[in-house]
Amino acid sequence: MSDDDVQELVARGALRSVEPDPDAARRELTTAKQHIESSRAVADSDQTAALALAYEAARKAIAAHMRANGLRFGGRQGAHARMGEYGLAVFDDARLAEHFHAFDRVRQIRNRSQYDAFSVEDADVEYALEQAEAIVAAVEADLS
Amino acid sequence: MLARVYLEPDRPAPLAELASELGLDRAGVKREADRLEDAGLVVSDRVGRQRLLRPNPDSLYYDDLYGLLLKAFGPAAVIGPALRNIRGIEHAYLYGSWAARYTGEPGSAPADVDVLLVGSPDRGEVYRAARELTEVLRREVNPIIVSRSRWEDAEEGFIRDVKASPLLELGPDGGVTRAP
Repeated sequence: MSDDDVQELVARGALRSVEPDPDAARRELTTAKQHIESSRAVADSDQTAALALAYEAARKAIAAHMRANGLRFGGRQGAHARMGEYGLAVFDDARLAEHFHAFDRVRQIRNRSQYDAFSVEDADVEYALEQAEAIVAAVEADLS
Repeated sequence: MLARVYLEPDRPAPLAELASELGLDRAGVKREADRLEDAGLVVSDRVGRQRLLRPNPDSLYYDDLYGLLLKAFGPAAVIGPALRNIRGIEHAYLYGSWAARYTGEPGSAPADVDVLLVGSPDRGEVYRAARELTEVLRREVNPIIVSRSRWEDAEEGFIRDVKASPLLELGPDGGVTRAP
């Protein structure tokens, strides 16, 4: 984790410090893992729901990381849109960076599928699950 | 230089910055700016001591010149070739606001470039290419991937909307053709 990057985000007002809550973070991470299981369970029958669950798993894992480290988004800009940016800032690892970039793509597909009469394909679900699993694993490893 | 001024009017740059961006010497850029302004193709705005160039939409040649520069140097010229080597892409299309510009609909330079890919390419490979293109074009490149059956079926609201709007096929050589 790169403290400098986080401090910069705090200084910019993009993040603000709050009391760390490791118990809530653990619960949120457990929920994220359940979402992955649920996503896999419906992947063949309901791709839109499976993609939304995979996205939600990754989002909750990032949120859990923030909670454990006593960080919240500041300002008015949408928190969902900045989750990937947070991941890129705190996980200083090129391989993981791919997954945090991808998180934002999954978010866009999920948004389209929710509001745009847009179908989700098996390959989209597979891609979303791959990112969610990597992000959940990275957060779990960092918090343990 | 003319392409930079015409295709990125939302990002007017001082002459010195244009020179470094385009790898030209400052005196040459100034001479070219004077010539283009004398010809009525661009106009200058002064901000402090800086001179910023913007296209002159009142020029008799503006519409034709913009169309020509767009075809030669617009996003399609870069996107088509960048996608050429990704396996599984059967067709690549430009849709949305940029497609509208290519087909002559007037308006400002759109922020996002909407690209639709038909086929079954590797998602990761496409999104990585889109990220690189975003850096090159300094505009968000948003690729949507749809399978051939989904595209041909056209039952889906999103696909019906795309097909009913300006749609251009992106060629691997950087050219564009109007989709049937």
